[in-house]
Amino acid sequence: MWAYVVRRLLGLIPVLFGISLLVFAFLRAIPGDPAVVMLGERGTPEQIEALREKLGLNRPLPEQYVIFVSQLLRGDLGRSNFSLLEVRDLLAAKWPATFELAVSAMLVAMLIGVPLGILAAVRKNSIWDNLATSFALVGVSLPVFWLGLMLVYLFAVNLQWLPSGGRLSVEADAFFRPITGFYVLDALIQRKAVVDVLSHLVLPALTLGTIPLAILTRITRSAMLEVLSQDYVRTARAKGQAERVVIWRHALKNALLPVVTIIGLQFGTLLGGAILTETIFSWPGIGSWIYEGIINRDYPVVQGGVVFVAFVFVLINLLVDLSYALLDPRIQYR
Amino acid sequence: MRRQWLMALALSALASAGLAQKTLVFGHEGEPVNLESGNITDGVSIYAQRQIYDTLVDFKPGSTDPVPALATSWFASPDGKSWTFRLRQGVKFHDGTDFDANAVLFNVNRWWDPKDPTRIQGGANYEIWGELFGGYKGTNESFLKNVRVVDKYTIRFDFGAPIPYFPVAIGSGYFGIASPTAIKAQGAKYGTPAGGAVGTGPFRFKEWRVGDRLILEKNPNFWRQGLPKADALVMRFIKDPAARLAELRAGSIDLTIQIPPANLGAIEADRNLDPVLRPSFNVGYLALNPAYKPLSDVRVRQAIAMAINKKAIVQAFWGKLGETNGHFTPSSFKTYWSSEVTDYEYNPTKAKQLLAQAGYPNGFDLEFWYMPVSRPYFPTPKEIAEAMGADLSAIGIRVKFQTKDWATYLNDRKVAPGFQAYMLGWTGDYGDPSNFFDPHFASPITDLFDSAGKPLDVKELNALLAKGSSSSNQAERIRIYQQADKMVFDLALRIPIVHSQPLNAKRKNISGWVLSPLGSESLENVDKSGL
Repeated sequence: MWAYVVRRLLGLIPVLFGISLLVFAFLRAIPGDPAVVMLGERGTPEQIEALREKLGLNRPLPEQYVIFVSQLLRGDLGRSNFSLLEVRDLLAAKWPATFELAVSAMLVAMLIGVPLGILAAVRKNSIWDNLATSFALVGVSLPVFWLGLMLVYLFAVNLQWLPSGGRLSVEADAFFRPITGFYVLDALIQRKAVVDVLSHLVLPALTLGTIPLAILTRITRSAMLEVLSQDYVRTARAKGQAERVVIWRHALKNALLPVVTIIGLQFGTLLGGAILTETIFSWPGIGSWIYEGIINRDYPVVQGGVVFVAFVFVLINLLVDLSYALLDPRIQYR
Repeated sequence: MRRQWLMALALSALASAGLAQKTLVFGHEGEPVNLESGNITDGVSIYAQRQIYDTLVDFKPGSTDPVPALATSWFASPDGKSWTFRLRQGVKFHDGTDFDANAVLFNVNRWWDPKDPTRIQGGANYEIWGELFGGYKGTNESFLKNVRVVDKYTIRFDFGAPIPYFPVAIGSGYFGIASPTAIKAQGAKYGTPAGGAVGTGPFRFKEWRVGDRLILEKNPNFWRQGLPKADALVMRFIKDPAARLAELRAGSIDLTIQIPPANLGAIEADRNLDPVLRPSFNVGYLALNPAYKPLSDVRVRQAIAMAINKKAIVQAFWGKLGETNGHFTPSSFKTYWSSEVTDYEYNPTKAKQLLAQAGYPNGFDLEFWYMPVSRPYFPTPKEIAEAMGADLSAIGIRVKFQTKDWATYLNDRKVAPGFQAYMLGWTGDYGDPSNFFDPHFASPITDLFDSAGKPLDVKELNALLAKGSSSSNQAERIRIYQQADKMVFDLALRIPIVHSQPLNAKRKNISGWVLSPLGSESLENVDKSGL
């Protein structure tokens, strides 16, 4: 198994290399010169030229790519053209926010989606099944932006139960210090502002979690249905085992395999794709940051951000693959 | 309910810690790029810097009239080529060091002199100095020839030619005076989240949490007695305007800027909120490029100006927040307006006649470019473009709408022969008409072209503007810019559509917020009641 892990890790190198080339090429293929965007309505040709030189944009593309990759190999992601800050520092500041949000959204999706899917499968064609499947259908079709704004208007503006944005209230600023950047963790460590931090997570996590929740419900339901029709389930029932035992011990474990795959994939998507949610809730994460980088043609930000997200994505996939062994002893790693 | 409970909890914790109570929470439209003064050009950073730094010259609240700040007085030499500033005594930077002429010299050299050893090598290039003052030390283009300390509290700037607008330009938010000690100590980290910023302004830097907020606290030694009124100022970065408005309604922020004009009604209807308008200091215009055949005829351009029902369009898209007239400059520059300029009346029949006279009785095809992004001067460019296009089609001009993403749009309009007709605008930097005219009409105009595809050169206007930006006689300058106003109007190369008043909003318990036409203001006078 360790040989397998090492092999997979080595396999990351060509993948990341390919991604770096793709993101580099795609960025340059988008029309629009970063120097022009930075100077906006006012840039004169001389200023644009000077800025291009400063940013190294006047060098030949292959040279720019070689610079980018050699920096990357040294762990240097360059500086944001706009803020002049190290992309590495920006990533370090922003990714915990996205990670925390994605984990919370995934928890929402898993804790509601999986039981709902099981319920729907076990009570197939009942009112529960119908409710769950229509909920799943509505869930995937809801526009994230609309859902987020509706939640804000209902729970933050009208009812005033929950904050409408940000990660921490201004009142809590006085006694809360970010340590790791994962605010939930930081709050727990300091035993301060825990409620405050959690309350800021609720609405964005619900917004971001709705689509994976709906997907998980559907996948769990169909996986369960398939397993429930298998011979060994029939055998277990024939042996007179309690329905509870049949479902939870025999069926669920096998039905979980595709569910875990989907969880892994969805989580990866959440990490990079939280753009809309992060925008609505002014959540200082990497999704909205990379998006803005694209709009601004901030090449180092987009390159560094995308390579990082890709790296995490591939890593999660590796973890998913490894977790199969726990769920299905037939799978062996060689 | 729960939020109130949370607040109470938080407040009691604050009280027990004996910390600041009157915290202003400002919903900022984005995150500052950098807090190093003179090294940024974006309005978001300037707004934040305005709270930390003072400039030599300030402006009367709500206007563009210069008033003393770090300089108590200033005067030009008889030939207009030198400006001397007398500085305020007894002012201290947030780090406790003294403000004096050497501090000003230090800052100016950093912006102006590429060889200055304290210039920060993190990629900064202080482009705004070159943009506003010709260029850098050691070049012929640089307006500034010399800057020197006369005595501890007097500094003198010598120029190659008279720069009548120098005091207002050096007073713009770009040029906050920073502590030399802090800059030397922080090096390349100065102005970043790690290094902070040190000025003499009403608030001092406490923490910049990347992507999230900037936390400032009251400067207890601020030279304006009794100010600032708030104990702390938190700038939260909330890029989405709908999110900013939602937070304002929910009460998690106290005041915010840049709300889309369509929300005016909603703000007025909310009993907890007040709309706050910024005096107009911008122009949204339609540029007509004479590089293309029909548009090279001034009659055709004037016909277009006549065919667009500007009043109706401004009423529809800006309501109370916009005004339309024939002047390229906003009404803050009324003194420089020509009395001979009365706007082209909306008259499709007459416009059609003009087109026929020019030889286009059946109209022509026109590529009409609209911006892909929202700006204060054009909040919804596509819809506004469609409204203008409908008016143009009424006189036979067949409009083909075009757009590109913002970066390409900005770039391609300058690639000869440019766009046929396009929307764009301008927001002023400082209170002088040259800041509106020069970038658009001083030759060579790089985004309009002549029939040979060369940057457009309107010689007479060019000469006039050159005279205006160097004359030190105020009466003469007024005459010159009035003439320029009329000439620009007659040429109809850029048809001013709107001068808009950007919409901002605050909670009812916030007072003392007077908005500057210049785009940012110190929040030192802003107070919060009912805490």
